[in-house]
Amino acid sequence: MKWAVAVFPGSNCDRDAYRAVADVLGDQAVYVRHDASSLLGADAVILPGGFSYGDYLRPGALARFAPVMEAVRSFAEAGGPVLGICNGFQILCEAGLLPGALLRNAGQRFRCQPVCLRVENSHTPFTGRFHAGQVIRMPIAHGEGNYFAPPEVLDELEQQGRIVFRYCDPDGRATPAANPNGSARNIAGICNARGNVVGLMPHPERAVEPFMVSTDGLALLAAVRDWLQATSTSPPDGNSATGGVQGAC
Amino acid sequence: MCGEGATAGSILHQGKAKTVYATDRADQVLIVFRDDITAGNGQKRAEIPGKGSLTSRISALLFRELERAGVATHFLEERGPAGLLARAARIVPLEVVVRNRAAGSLSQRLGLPEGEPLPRPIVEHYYKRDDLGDPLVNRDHIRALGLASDDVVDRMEAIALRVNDILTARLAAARLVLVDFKLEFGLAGDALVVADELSPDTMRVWDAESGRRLDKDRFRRDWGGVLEGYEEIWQRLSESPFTGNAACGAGADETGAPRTFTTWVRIMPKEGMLDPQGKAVRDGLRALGFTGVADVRVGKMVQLVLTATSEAQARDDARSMAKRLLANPVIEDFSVHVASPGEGSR
Repeated sequence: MKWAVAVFPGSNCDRDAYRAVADVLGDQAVYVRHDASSLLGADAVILPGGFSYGDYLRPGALARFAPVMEAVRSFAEAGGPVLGICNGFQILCEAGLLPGALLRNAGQRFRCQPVCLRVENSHTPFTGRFHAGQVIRMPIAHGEGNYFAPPEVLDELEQQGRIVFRYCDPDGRATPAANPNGSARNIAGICNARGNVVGLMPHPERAVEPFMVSTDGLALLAAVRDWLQATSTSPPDGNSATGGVQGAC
Repeated sequence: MCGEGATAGSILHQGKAKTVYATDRADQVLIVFRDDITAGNGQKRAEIPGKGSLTSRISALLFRELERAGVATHFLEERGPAGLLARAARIVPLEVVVRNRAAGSLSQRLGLPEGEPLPRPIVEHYYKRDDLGDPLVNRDHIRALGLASDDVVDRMEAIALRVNDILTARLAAARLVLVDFKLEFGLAGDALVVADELSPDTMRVWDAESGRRLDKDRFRRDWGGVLEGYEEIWQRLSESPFTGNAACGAGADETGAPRTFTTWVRIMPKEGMLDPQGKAVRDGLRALGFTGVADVRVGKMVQLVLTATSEAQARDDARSMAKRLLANPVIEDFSVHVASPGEGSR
């Protein structure tokens, strides 16, 4: 399969993401610049972490106007898998592809540490190798990862199973102490209604080799391959773009 | 004026000159214009048969003009001889008054001769409270009482000035002068709409040539001929050709060719939203010995230099920019301030 890794001025996790999918996972990968108008035929796209456009105005606020975001939007609307990591998550929220916003961390500190995450939804293209309730580990590194949405939106996310990951303790309990940034309801990652667009603050591309925090990030990225295979064998008149996800999310 | 839960035909609100009824739809109300006329906050009252039908018809005509010019109103359609079907809306407890010439309470308060043209329109806010006599309030009062957010007040002012442009031009086409008028606003869902009525009960209208008063001042000052004045406004408006956008153009011409406006957009974290930056700054100030610092919130200020044909247009443009990019409506509120001529950059 072929990955596209978007590169905005100020992206700084693009190489890590590229390396994770190309070198560790062994897939094909291409960089697509902010001014590109196509995703070069990729099967999945990553909006990587960093500080696109210097975080000017608000993190992600200016990246959403980059020409490549038009291609990402069309790709997402067609059901293609889109993963927004950290700043990529912020961009997806600013672009309206995901609801809510990411505020400054409640503790006023930049948090750079490994965290435990509880998988809440194992039916997205990125979570098929996990099971619901499983505790996984990945690092976070952000100053503005405090997920916020109005209560009615949070309720809707809960009801529709669109909370994908929650910060938790090693036993899987989503406690206030396990919440590194004050996120509403310990939310670390969410998906869109269709389930194909996932955004999360933790960095899966930094959890792909034995010397790292874990290799759970690799399982997250590798799941996309399974998902693509499953969808390509599904009947053409059915939900071929989203496979089994549509019903679940 | 929300119709939820009320059965069709039941009275939702009984005003001094209008009655609002529930309809069989929760999102619509029926407003019936009565023949009652009052002044001095209800001190003086009378009944003038036929008045309700005139204020209803004039309102409908002027609401249609606003809708044509792109201003959202609560008006849906006319019902019967003196009724309007309208969108149910939560009425903002503020009256917005726009004045083009000195008259009435403004003349009394500031000693300006009645009829004196004002160099630019004056916008005033009055708190809708009959028991207090609808007092004049400023922005600090509005904030202190929590009557409306800064954003809503900004939007009401911008809309009121645009309504002024449209109505001034429309009345001029009927050889009438719009001296001043009062607007009320309602929130229908998220939309801010012009509500209530647009009639000689709520605006001062003079004959352009003779300066003869044709509005409710004839009642307030016991000059007689109230119905005749209203009738004349209706006749002239309904007979004067509808000029569509040209009418708006004529209004905009008064404000002249495109000019530059220095405009500021103030962006603040939403009320009640955690502001860690503000908290950190507050702690810093306290550490410096400023013990009286109760709270700090940190926002942003964006200065724009805009080319526009009127202040109202500059404000509208800045608002669109704030909505689409400068502020994130999920987490931030904003307000827009357009510099007055000579205010320059600060």
